[in-house]
Amino acid sequence: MRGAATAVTLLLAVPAMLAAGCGSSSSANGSSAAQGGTLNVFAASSLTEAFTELAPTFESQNPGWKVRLNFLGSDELAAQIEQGIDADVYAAASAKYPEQLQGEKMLGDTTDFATNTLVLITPKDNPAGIHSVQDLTKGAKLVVGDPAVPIGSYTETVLANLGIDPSSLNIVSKEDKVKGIATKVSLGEADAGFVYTSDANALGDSVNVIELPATAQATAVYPMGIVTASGNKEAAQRWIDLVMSSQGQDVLTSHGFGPAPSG
Amino acid sequence: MFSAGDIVAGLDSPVARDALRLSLETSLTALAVMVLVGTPIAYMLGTRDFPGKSVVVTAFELPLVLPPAVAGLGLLFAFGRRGLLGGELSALGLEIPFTRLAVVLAMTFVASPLYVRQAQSAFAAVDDDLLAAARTLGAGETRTFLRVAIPVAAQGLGAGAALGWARALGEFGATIIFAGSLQGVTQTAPIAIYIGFDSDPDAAFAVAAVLIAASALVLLSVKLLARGGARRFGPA
Repeated sequence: MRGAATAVTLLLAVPAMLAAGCGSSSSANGSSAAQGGTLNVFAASSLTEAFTELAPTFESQNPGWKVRLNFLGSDELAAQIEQGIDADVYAAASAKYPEQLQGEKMLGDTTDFATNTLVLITPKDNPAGIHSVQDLTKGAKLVVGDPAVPIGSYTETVLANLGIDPSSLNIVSKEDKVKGIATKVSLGEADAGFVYTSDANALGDSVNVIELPATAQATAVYPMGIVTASGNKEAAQRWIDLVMSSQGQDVLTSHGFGPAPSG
Repeated sequence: MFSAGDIVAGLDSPVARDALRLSLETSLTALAVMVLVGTPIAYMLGTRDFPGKSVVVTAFELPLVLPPAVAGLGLLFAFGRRGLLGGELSALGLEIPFTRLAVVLAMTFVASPLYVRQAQSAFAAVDDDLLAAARTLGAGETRTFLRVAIPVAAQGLGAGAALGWARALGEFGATIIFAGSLQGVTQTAPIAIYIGFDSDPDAAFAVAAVLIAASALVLLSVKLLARGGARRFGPA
């Protein structure tokens, strides 16, 4: 009996503690930044590895602060911010959605903090025998991004630069985020897919990487800004400073990103 | 802010129309599969006891509680090109992921437990004496099932089919993992809403309005069926 009573008490205590935790973080949102709190960083899916590595650095440099990372397609993140979800920093894979949010007065000035290029990936055993972009027209199952997400529109640019008509390709899926493309190729369900260099980097040995000709390349520029409704603007600025610092830039470079564009 | 005219205009987009047509066709196919295969299974589960029955029932009901994304991964591991049956399927010239068949499979997998559960309790509620009488009068097992059990359990089966169909229509998580998203092939209405939310909100809202209407209609018909059933079998 006593065991059961203890178990019940413990079960009741967990939600209570969770509620208390939420309460303290939201009160911290309103109070001065020096006391710490939770910084909500909304970042494009392709930033997953780089920002996950930077979060502990930020937390050790800013005692009392926790970084909560939310990785989704840039468009979904923008929709969440429009719906009023608690966000402090928004980092997107193209200027499209940040500009849209700025037009709605929901995002402040942005800083371009990284660039990314596209590559073609195939499963390790390369079942369709793809060795160059031109091989794609032989009917290989290709997965691309939906034009609504940055990777999809960059892919359209690359194909146009290459002079490849999309209707000559066997596109089997238009994914809602770049990680969906990466997973379907690395699992071997698709024969090839266009992803960012940083994603290919994260996939490591599970895929083959085919570089695109420099003339066909579309360079993705990543802007980042502070959400207007944020109660943690000082901490948000410190996150941006960290990403722009040589330390932050080194982490991005190590994950396959290009440096922040100058000027 | 959103008028009937906007909905009609939104439905004019090819993305919206393709998605609704695909959803209708695939969900009805999934419904046919779950009724044809699920009804005999539900009859057996509802009218018989056998060792290990609860294990079998649990296995059938598992998709009901699984997160849809897990269901999608499970389907990939079973039917994907690199899945357990991938080699055999490839030998037959069949690659399921990214096809309409994948959409139907995902829908059937997540929705059939709803139908089977409801059908099972409908069959369990059929008076044993009725079935026994049919057998005494010389009806075989199949004839008893088709001519006695199904007509008596019809209301429950109808309600189960309506719920199963609605769940198939709303399927999202397993589909996007197992079948991907391609307009006119695998992009069902829920996926079109999800992807189109930012790029084409009018079409997304229009498709959503159709889904709300369809779901409401299904729920209403389940309630009417239940009331009809109560009138027919309830105390006079």
